[in-house]
Amino acid sequence: MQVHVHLHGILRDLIPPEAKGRATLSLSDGATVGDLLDQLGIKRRVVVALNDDHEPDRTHILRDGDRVSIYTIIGGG
Amino acid sequence: MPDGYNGRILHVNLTTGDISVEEPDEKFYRKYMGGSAMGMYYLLRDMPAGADPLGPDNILALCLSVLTGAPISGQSRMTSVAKSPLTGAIGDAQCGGFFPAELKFAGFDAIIIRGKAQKPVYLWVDDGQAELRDAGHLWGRITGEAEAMLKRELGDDKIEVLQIGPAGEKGVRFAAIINMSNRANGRTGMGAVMGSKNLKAVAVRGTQKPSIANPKALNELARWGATNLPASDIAGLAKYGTAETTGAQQKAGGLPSYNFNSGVFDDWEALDGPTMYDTILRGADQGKQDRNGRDTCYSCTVRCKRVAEIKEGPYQVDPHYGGPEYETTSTLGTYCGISDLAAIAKANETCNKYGMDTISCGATIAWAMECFEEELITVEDTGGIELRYGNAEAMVRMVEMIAKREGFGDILAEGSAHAAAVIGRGTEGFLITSKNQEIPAHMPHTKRTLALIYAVNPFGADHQSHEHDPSYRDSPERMAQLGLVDPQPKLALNAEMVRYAMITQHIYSALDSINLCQFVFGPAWHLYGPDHIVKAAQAITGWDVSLYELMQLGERRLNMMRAFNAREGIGREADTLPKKFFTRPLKGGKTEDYVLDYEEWRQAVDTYYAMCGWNIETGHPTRAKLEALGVGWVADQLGL
Repeated sequence: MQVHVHLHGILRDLIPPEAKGRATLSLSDGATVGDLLDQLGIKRRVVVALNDDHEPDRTHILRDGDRVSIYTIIGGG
Repeated sequence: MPDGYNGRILHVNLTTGDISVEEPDEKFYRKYMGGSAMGMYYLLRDMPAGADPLGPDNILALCLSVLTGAPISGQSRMTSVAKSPLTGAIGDAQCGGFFPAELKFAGFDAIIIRGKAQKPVYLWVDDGQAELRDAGHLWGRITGEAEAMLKRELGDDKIEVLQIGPAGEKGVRFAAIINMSNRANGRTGMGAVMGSKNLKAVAVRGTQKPSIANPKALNELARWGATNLPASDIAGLAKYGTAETTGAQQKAGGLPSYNFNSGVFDDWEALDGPTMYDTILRGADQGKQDRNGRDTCYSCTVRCKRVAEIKEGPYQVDPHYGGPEYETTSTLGTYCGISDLAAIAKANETCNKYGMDTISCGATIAWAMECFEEELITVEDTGGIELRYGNAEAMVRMVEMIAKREGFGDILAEGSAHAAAVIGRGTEGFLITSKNQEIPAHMPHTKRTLALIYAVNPFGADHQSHEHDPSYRDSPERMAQLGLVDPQPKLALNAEMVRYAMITQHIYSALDSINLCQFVFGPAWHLYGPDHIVKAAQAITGWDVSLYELMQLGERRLNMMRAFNAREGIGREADTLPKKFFTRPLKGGKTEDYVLDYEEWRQAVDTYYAMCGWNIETGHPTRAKLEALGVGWVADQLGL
C-alpha cells in the first residue's frame, strides 16, 4: 500500500530537500504508524496526524491512501 | 574572588550623575542569584510605591546572574526589570546576545539605574570603570546608526551596545531595549522607561572572564550538549528557528489568527520556519544560509537566531536587524491575516531599528484591524489607511507610524488597552490583553494552563513563564524530576494541571533569575533538563546548589513581583483574560467553536492562589509565605 507523508520542520531533512517534506511511501499491508516512523528513521518524539485530524498511536494500522503528517514537539518560543 | 560572578553591582544615579559600586556579600548572591530576583530586591527596597513608571522615581535594574558569561550554551542572558508603563505593574523582559557576557567581563553583575538625566546621556562601562557621557548626537538615531557611531567614537569594534531606539525616546509604551540592533528586552515597555530617564545607551567592553569553580565538569556538560543537540527536540528550532513550530500550532488549531478569532491560518506555510530558511535567510540563494543566515549568542552552539536579507522588491531588509521569530511571524502575520513574509520581515526590521516589542506592536495592529473591520475605527481615524486584515502594506506603514508616533500611530503607541480607552466606541471588547499587555502567540484554547498563567503572571500575559500543557505527557522523565508523574487528559484545567502549571512556573521563574535561555535549559523538550541546570550552577559557582534551592528561588522571584504589585494596589482584580476568550467561539480547524469555560478558569485561579499560599480574596502573598521564602522584609514593606 502507499501512504502520503508530509514531514514538518526538521523532519523534512529525512528526505531529499527538493521534496520539501512531501513523499509517497510504499509500506507492506498491515504496517503501523510505528513501522512508518521506523522506515523514515524517526527516533525523536513527534506528533502524528492521520488524514488531518486523528492522532493515532504507534500501533494504529495504516490504510492505502492515508495521509500522514508528522510534526516535531516544541513548547514555547 | 567568587566563582562565576564579580561581586560588584554598579549603581548609577542619572539625576545627580553619581556612580558607585556596591559589593554585596555571598549570602546576597546565593539568595537572589541574578535576573529579576536580584532586580526585585532593589525595586522593592528603594522604589516608592505609586512611582510614575516614566518618572525619575522608577528604577531600571539590568541584571545578569552568577552564571552569565560561563563557557556553555544558553547563559548569555540579561533581565531588565522596572515598573512597566504598559501595565502599571512590575515589568520584566529578558534578552540574549553578547552584551550580557560582555558586561560580566567588564566587572559587574548588574546595573541599577535611578533618576533622570537632564539631557540625553550614555553610560560607558570599560573594564571595571564607568562614566556618563553626552548622547545628544545619538538621540533620534535608529539602533544600527547609534551602535556604529558609538563603536567608532570609542574606537573599538568589540564594544557591545545596549540601547533604545527612537520609539523608546518617544515613550512608546511597548518600546524595547535593544542590543546588537537585533536582540530585545522586548516586553513590558522597558525601553520607554530607559528613554524617560534620558539614557540612550549602555556601551560596554570587558576583558576579565570570571573564574569557573569546576571547569572540567562544565566542559563535560558543554560537550554533552553539543553532542546531543542534533538528536534533541530543539534541533529543528536551531536550524529552522522558532517559526519551526508554526505547522504544529496550525495542526492543533492553536495558531492565533485574525486577532485570536481563529486558531488556523490557511496560508500558514508561507510563514513556516522552513519557508523562511528557504527564502529570506541570508545566503539562501546560494544554499549557504546555515553559515550566513543563522546567528547566535555568546558561547552558544544552538544558533537559533535568524538573519533575514531581502535585496529586491517592495520590502528590502537589512540583515543587520536580524530576522523574525515565531512570535513575530504570528503577531505581525497571522494575527493580522497577513501571509507576506517579506512584509513581516520588513516590519520586524522597523521594530528593531526603532526599538519596539514585536508582540505588542503586531497584536495592537491586529486589534485595530478587527475594530476597523467592525467599523468602530474608520479611515478618518487612520488618516486614510484601510487597516483591514490581510493588508500587508497598511501593517508595515502602521508599524513605522507607531515607532514615530505619527498620526494614528501615536494612539496605537499607547498599546491596545490604552488606545481602546482613548477611542472608546466599544473597541475594548476586541482587546486580547491581560494587565494591559497583549497576549503572545500561544492559545489557551488548546493549552489550558495558559489561561491560568496568562492571567496570574505578575507582568502580564507571557508564554515563557511556565511549561505548556503537552509536555506533561510528552516529557515524562524530566517531569518526574519535578515530582510531576500524573499527566491529565487534553484540555483539562483541574487541580493537577494547576499544580503542573505552578511547579513549572517556579522553574521557569528560576531560569529568569539565573538567566538561562529557556530553549537551551528547561523542564521538558529543552536541550538540558532540570538535573543539568543544577549541574551547571554547581560547576560554575562551586556552590552545592540543589533543584529545591532553585525552585525556591523561582518562587521567591514570583512572590516578590506579586508583592510589588500588591504595593501598587494590583491584585486579583487584574488577573484577567480577554472577555472574548470566554464568549466568542473560535472559527475553523480543529478548534472550531472552542471557548474557555469561565467557571472552570475562575476555580483554577482560586486553586492556584491556595497552592501558592496567597490570600484568595486579594491574590496577594501572605507574610507567612514571604517569610517561608526568606524575604520577610518584603512583608514589612507591605505592612502585613
